[in-house]
Amino acid sequence: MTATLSRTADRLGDPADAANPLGFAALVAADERGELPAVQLGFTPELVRALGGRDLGLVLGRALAPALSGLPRPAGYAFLREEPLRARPVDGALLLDGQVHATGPGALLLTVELAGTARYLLLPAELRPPAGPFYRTPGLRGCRPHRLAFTGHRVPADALLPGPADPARAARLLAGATLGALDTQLRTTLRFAEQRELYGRPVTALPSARAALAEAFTDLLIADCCLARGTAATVEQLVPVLVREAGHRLALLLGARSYLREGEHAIFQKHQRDLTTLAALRGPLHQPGARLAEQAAQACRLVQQQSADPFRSAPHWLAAALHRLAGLGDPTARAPHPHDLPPNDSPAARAERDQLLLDELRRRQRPATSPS
Amino acid sequence: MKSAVAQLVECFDRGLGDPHDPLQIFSFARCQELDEREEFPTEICQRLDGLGLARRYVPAALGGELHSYEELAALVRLVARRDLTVAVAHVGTFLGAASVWLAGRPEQAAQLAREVEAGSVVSLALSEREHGSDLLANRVRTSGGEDWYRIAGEKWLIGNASRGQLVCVLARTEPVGGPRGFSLLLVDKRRLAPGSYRCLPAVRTVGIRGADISGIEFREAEVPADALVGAAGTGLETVLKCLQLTRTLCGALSLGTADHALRLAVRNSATGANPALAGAYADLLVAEAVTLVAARAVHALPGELSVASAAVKAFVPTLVEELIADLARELGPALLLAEPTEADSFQKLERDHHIMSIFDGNTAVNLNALVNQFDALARGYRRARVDQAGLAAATTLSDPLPAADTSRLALFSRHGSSLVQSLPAALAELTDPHFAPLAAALAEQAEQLHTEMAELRPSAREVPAMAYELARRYTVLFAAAGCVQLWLHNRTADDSPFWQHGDWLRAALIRLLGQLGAGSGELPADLVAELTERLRHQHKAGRLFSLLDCQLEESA
Repeated sequence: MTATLSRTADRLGDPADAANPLGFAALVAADERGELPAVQLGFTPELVRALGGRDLGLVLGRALAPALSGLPRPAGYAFLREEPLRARPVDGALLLDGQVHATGPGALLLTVELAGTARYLLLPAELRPPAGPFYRTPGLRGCRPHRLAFTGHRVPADALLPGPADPARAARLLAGATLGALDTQLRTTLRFAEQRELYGRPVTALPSARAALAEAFTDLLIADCCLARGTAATVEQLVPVLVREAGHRLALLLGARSYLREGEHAIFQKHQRDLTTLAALRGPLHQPGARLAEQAAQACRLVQQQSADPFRSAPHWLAAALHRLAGLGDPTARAPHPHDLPPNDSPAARAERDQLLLDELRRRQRPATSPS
Repeated sequence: MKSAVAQLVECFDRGLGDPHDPLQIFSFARCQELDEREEFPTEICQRLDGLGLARRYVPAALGGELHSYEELAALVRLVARRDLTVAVAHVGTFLGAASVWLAGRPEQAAQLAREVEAGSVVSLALSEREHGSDLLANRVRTSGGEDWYRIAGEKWLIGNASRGQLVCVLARTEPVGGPRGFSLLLVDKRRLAPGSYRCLPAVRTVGIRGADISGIEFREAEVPADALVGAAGTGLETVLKCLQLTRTLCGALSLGTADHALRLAVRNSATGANPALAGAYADLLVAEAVTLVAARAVHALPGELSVASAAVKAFVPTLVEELIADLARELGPALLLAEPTEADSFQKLERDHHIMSIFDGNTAVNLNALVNQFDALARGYRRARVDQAGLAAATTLSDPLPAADTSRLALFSRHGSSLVQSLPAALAELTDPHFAPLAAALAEQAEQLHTEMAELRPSAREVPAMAYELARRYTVLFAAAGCVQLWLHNRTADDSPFWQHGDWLRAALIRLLGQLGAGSGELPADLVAELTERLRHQHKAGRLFSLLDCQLEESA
């Protein structure tokens, strides 16, 4: 697993290399121009998460569609706008009705409802209805999100792809890409905190900074477990909340650097804006309640019990994860059950957990391997 | 209830014209265009000068029109509710000049007063590339002679560093540094030798894109010795007191952004009672109450401003950030996916507002300022120490404020916070049955928190992470105390049920208890209905979203 992932990350090249079109400097520059980076890659499902660590715009504008459908070429992706997009067959062709939020230029992968079944349809670039309006989004600028309206729009029947659409799989891939982005944000902030001195010592020596890094890392670990062993609901509803809150916490630690569109930490704010925009495209989200927190806790327990990895099979991160999940959702209905929590939650015990999480984070930071 | 301040605000807003009219200089459409071009709002700032905003930065004692910080905060809010970028760009001059008001020689202050009134831009140069909020680590230094200083080094991420004619610089005047090793120098860029300084290019930021956030590099720039602001070695102390004033005003910047966000949300939501809107409105009223009380406290409780300013700066921007996020989440994509045909866009204010928890002392710095005073706060609470006269003056809106006496500002509040320390007694006055459970819950929270604060023994170097959480809860309690006192001292001045029955206070306390983890924060249906209705009414009538009456120059 690790070997495969590091190979996929290798294909993207060194993120710190200024000459790499998939390096952070080039990606930030492309975003400033409102363009998607021009790269030739085969977009497999395995690549989506690592790619999310580089550019979510590239995931939405090119990679997600082939990864989902097995298409050989890059294509854009479209989010439903409230109602499903309906397709009805009319003498050898299909008529489309409805509206979507589209990302990316060129061909577009649509999820349509045909005779009560969700199907994928590849809309060729030349058959797009007139685009627009384009949104003023804070992020995903390279894929220029816009509204696309279909009114009895005619496409050939062979635009329909075989087999049913799989929205749960799309949600999982997309969630993976956002975890890639959070992973990059975490690495960026850790690098900053280790290099920066505050009050005469590295920022990582401050207990509050250590706690912030450990909490963001815990959120990433929980989200990973949701993806690996969690329910669809945890992937669709809890993971975005974890990603948002972890990003927020890291932004506070990164301070002014989280607000700069230039310099060595600029990738952080690009991911932050992209994630905000992605959340808007996906539609309203509700604060997760106790039930989702319990489902996520169960996923974490399973990963801990079944993992052979020395870090994952250890109890510390699980304790941190369960405490975090206990604080999520409705504060008056705390979950998971109190008897489930490790008894010792003294400041000293927390500081020790923070240290162990930080050690692991540093271990992962060292080689340029992919997350998890 | 209409205050004298409201009349000033109404008059000022009339001068600015309807922001929905794209032909007005300070319109929403114009601000949107400037942001897209990342262009400084020059014309708008000139318009604000024309309406006398810069004169409002100059203390009345120096011939200006800064009569009260309540007024100044109200005007800053009014500008920020049209555009945060403009507000940050313009108000920077107050930040730059305030140190001179506090510590400058009389003729130096008088001279600067004339400059500010004439429209000069003054900048405060504190932060450095490698040191950010750690002022003691600053490296910009001076060498000195009989009657001159030479400044060397770089200040970076400085508002108006390039546009400002004058820059107030914090520099190390003792090579070893230390609390008494820094001084403030008021540098007139127009009088520096050519080549002895260089303005750094504007930095590309996520939001407030049109603002001049740049830097300045001094290369042995020589200034006369009388550029010194206050005595040599007092720079840090002066700056920290100056920041107490500006951090209080930051409440108004955030509050204005909340106005803006909520207005867009109202315009983009379906009719009828709406819990998301009602919750956001209640939060806005809380932010207004605490900002109002803190601004009046500059006059009424100056010795406690180290607590009030830190509480406002840590609490209000965080609250408004969440308000914006809540609205974006609850009201869905429409707000963030604005179409270019709409002049006004939510995503801009969302980007802009992130600056609020970063600049002028980030949230952690302000929470830390409270942690450093836990001892006095816990002690003051146990002894129920309250400056009754000061408290009454800070919270009774109809009472005229005494002139601000900035010589009474202190780095630490010896007696804690009268506002928080009067809370148990104030809660005992909330005997009405619909308040009783809220008051009891809040009293319990206050007790619990102060016990935990007293038990904490942080060393200056080793502040445990949980201390920040205690400080965060303290800011919530501070806000609650502000709301309770504001209601108790003004409830009879207005005959609407909103004030008479204390409906807004009930909503505020429910929201704040939610933030303390002592409730869901969800408003009951009757309050949702009442708050949504009042919000929509204020919107439709072109009024400020407020506890008070204030008519704006605005079409719905």
